[in-house]
Amino acid sequence: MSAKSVRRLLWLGLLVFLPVPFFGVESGFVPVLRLLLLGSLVAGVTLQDPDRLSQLFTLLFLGQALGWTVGLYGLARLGARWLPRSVPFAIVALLAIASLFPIYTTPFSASGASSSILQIFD
Amino acid sequence: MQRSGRLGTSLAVALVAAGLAHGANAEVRQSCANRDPLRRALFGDLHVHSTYSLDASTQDTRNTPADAYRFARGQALGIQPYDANDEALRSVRLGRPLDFAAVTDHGELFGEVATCRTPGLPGHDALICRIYRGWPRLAFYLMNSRSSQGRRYSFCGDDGEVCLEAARGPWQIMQEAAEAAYDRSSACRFTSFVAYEWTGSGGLDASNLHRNVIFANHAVPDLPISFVDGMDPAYLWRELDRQCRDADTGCDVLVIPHNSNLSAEKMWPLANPDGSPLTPDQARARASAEPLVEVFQHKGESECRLGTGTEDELCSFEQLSYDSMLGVQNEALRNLPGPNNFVRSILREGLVQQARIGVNPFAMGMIASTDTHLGTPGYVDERRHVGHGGAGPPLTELPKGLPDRIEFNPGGLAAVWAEENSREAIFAALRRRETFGTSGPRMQVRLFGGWGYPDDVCESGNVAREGYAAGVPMGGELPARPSGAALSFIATALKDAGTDDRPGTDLQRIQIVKLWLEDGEPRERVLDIAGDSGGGADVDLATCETRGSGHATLCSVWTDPEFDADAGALYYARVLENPTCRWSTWLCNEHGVDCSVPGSVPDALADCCDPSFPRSIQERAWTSPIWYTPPSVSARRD
Repeated sequence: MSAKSVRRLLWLGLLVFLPVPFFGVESGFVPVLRLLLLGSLVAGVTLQDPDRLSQLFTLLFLGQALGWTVGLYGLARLGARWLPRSVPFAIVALLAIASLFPIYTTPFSASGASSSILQIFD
Repeated sequence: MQRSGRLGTSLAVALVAAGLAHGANAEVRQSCANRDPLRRALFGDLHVHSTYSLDASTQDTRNTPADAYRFARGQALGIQPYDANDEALRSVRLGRPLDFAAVTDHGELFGEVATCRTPGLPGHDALICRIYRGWPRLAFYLMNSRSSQGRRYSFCGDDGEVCLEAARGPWQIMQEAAEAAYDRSSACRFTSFVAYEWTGSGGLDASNLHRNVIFANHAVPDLPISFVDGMDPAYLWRELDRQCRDADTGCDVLVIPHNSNLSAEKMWPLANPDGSPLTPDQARARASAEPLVEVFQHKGESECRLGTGTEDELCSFEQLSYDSMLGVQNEALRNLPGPNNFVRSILREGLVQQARIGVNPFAMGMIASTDTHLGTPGYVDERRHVGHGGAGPPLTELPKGLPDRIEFNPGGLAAVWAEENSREAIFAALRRRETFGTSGPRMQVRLFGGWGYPDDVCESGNVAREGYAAGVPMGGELPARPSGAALSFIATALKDAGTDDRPGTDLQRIQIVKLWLEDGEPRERVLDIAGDSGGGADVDLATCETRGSGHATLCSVWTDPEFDADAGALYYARVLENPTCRWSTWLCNEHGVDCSVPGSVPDALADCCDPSFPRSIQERAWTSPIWYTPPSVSARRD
């Protein structure tokens, strides 16, 4: 597998599984993918029915998601360059397994405060 | 049981139908067998949310208005969380049924919530409805915020007609539930009112302008008049006049503001937005529409706050440390409450306004209620508090720690002095402000004011008879003063008897809170007039056992030695019980929390060891004031 593929795999794994902090009216730890999803949904509502809070939420979700996306890309790039080839795979595998447990704090979720990846994308 | 319920409903419907057939909207019911011309204390809850409120539904409250009324009448009720088979994992029941209740779901988003929950309705597939179903907590913020700006979603149509049409369903169900729960038999066991909550907001700070709208009977407007229809309380009052009080349908209504403690001092503006002073007509409109205020509930006490316009140490009861709804959600956005967040300051301001324009815009009596968002009216038990879920997150599993934010509380009760338990008698008591609020217990408090009660009236055995005969009860305005007469008050309190397994707590004392004008400046004084604070009674915080004794009854005649006949004044009574454990202390003890070993305290119970929250409380009651208007002001008003 090329370094480029390893970098992409690690980046994707971090985006999907790594709990990152977000700050809004409520705060928590969620995967960047979830921030992107929420941001897209609220952006859709904002386009349809613009108002102050939906604009603010769009900005918060997408702004933080964008920041983390860029940051995690840098991290994946470093990891792919400096870590032995097997370590990024192990990191993604470990994150994937951990994500099945309630490691996320998702106040905006239907399934309550502590959730697994299955619950938050249910 | 079910059959008798159906029979009762059928009887009620038949009686209402008979009334309608005769072209009248007056009450149609059997006379109450138990009627007391000297009135008796009835206890109820006039602030209750069910699944039809957006914020209740987004935290998975499934109980309907009918469920809430069944609970108020004494039946057990399941509450969230629910298991995979939709079975409730918790069940609650009142130790004693309530005498009356009103389900007051938020009127702003009836149609939107119904649309998002009902497949096939136009708008059901709108993006915001998908968010409501998939991310209810997010929808709570988005939808609440939109209605707080007085706006509807585009799926509601250009004039909101789609959502207004959808709102008819829940509104009809709420009316039917209230009608069905009302005991029209001669037993007069339970009274229900058709009601809703007008959910106004003061702006970006999410300042709370909320008001409950209580209708006297089944004659009500076609749809609730909501904040989306008009963002000014004056609009609400005008429309209630037009669609209800002046509509010649038998409709009558009153409006009860609540949580002024979270209003960022915007609940009762002292002037118009352009800075001009309130006019007599404005003051009359406000006083006529809003004769009462909810002084205590789940989200804190609104009577007064120590250090905020008062040095009264008993004003540190169930206080929140922030001044708007924004502070509930986010610690970084908190401001400390100011004086005009509190009822006592506003009652004082009412005297100032009255001296200026001849009319008191803030002549409000007092009640309390729960503001439960679980559909559990009157569930005020400190010992079994399950939370009230006010705008909280959904529960998917049983709470591991405290079931509610530690700064909240189980809420209080509304009490009225009425001849009988019927809509007519209770609504009349609310209108004349012969009401008091309690922080939960059912102590019975009387307050009469008059010109020279005899000192031995408490020994007469006829306090109520003499109180009514020679003066006015709580909520009243003193008649003209006979020349040279002294102003005196009779205050009595009977402790809450409780139940066989849970006897009530002894009373500690009765206080009179006097507010008056002196050289045009508002003043206050708080006096103990019965019982005493030095009885030594307290509570063992480790076991919650009470120690020492108090009083089963208290009665006192108090004459105001500093009464000034030329200055406006008001007087209300505050009755205190001996100290008991706060709800959080009961729960922390049950979980075996030992704050002396911090490492042993689980995260979910960390608040148990936060010293900023009291571990004991003194339950209490607040009566409506009695007002004195000097002749110079009376002449201008009349």
